[in-house]
Amino acid sequence: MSELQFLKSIIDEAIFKGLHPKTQRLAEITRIPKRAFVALQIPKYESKRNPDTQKWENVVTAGIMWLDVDDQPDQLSQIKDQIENRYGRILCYGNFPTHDAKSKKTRMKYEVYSEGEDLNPWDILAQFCDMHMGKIVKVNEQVNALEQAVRDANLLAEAEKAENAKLKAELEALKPKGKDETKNASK
Amino acid sequence: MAAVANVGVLANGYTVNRVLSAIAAPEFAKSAVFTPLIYSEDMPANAGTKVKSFRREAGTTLIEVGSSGLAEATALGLGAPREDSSVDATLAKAVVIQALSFESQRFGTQSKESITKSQARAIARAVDNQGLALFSSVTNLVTATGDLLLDDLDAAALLIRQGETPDAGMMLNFVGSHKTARMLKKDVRESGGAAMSNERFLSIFNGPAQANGFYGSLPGINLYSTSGLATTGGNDIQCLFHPMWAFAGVFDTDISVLTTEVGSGGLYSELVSYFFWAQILWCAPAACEVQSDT
Repeated sequence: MSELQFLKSIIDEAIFKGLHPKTQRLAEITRIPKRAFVALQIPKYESKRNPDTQKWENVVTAGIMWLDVDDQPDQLSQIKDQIENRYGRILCYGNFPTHDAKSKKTRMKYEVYSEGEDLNPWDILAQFCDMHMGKIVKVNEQVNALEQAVRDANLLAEAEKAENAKLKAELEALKPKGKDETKNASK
Repeated sequence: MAAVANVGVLANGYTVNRVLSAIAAPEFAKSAVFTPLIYSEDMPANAGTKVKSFRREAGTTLIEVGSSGLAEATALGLGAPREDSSVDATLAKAVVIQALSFESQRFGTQSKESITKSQARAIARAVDNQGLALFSSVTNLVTATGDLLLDDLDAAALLIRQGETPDAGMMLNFVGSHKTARMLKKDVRESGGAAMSNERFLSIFNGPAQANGFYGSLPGINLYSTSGLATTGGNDIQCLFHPMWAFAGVFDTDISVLTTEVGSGGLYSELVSYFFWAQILWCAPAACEVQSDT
């Protein structure tokens, strides 16, 4: 990632549209960190000085929370705590070490943390984030979608069957009647 | 046969065709500032898990009985049960592995001891940086309009007090940037004679910053400065927090060091330092994120 890339460039458009205006503004001016991270939108209780009255006022607003997961990838509980207890919402994640990372150091880090055939902790974290961001559809939703697809296919088959029957009837009606009468007469 | 990569050899030390200075300048890197300031526990050995739950007790409210009060001999329903919560801290290991050739150990200037000390400092920095990154997860926020002023810190302290954080008698800790340290001193200096003659304000002028980043205190607040803070939109993300109830950590009591002598594999010593740790935001109301110009 280049130095001048801002967070907005890696946030899914649909997610971005649903964010608090302050989070949107922050995402536009905040650079993507160089280390592995997860970014969340969390509510903020902000105390700020009113420039007109010079008085301190408290407002409920939003902000971006960063979780540095470069050296400590096992922070799923922190993310869950924010989501379940503090109305947090995952915006994006990045720079997770991978087995094919450009940097040798990063590749080594990935290997050091991989335990046997188990998933790497960053992979587990990425999977959770994707699930939360709606990139992976949950099992129930997948089942529902498949059932709906079967229902749609059945309805289509029924409609085609009805259409075929109708066409068949029309074809029958178009057949010359004289021949049939002859047949009947010969009987 | 081929040379093993990444083994410290003679050339990594100092050349020997000259006399060396009595001391070597230490590495110019940040020290651990945040980690020693939070509540910490250790992890029992052989616990069968690497997860420790930090508990949070919920409050209990009275049963509402109306404005007229409770009539005599009135049967009451059960109140709602108290719903406690917790947040998990999962221990992970920080590891540094380096190698030193036998030649380097026999003739060179880098010793196993100095390498393991370097490794320990590297681990301390990694742990500290991960802790600093927790600041953005705090709910309370004060954003200075430019550089940080004493008034901004007071506003942050007020939010923590308004959150009814227990143990209000303890000094709060502020961990901010080096620039903020300078700007706070400037604010005190420019605030006029009254503040300058007030001894309570003057401790932040009492000499240089200490090794742990401490540079003075204001009423109710100890001040620390460090680098490695996260930024957002041109602001440093700093934090004022209660030393007991805001953040928590689980740390090994020592950094473990392992030395392996490698023979046919390349004739060198492998030095491994590792440390298990976890840091979390425990109770958000006990802390306040403070943003000011980078």
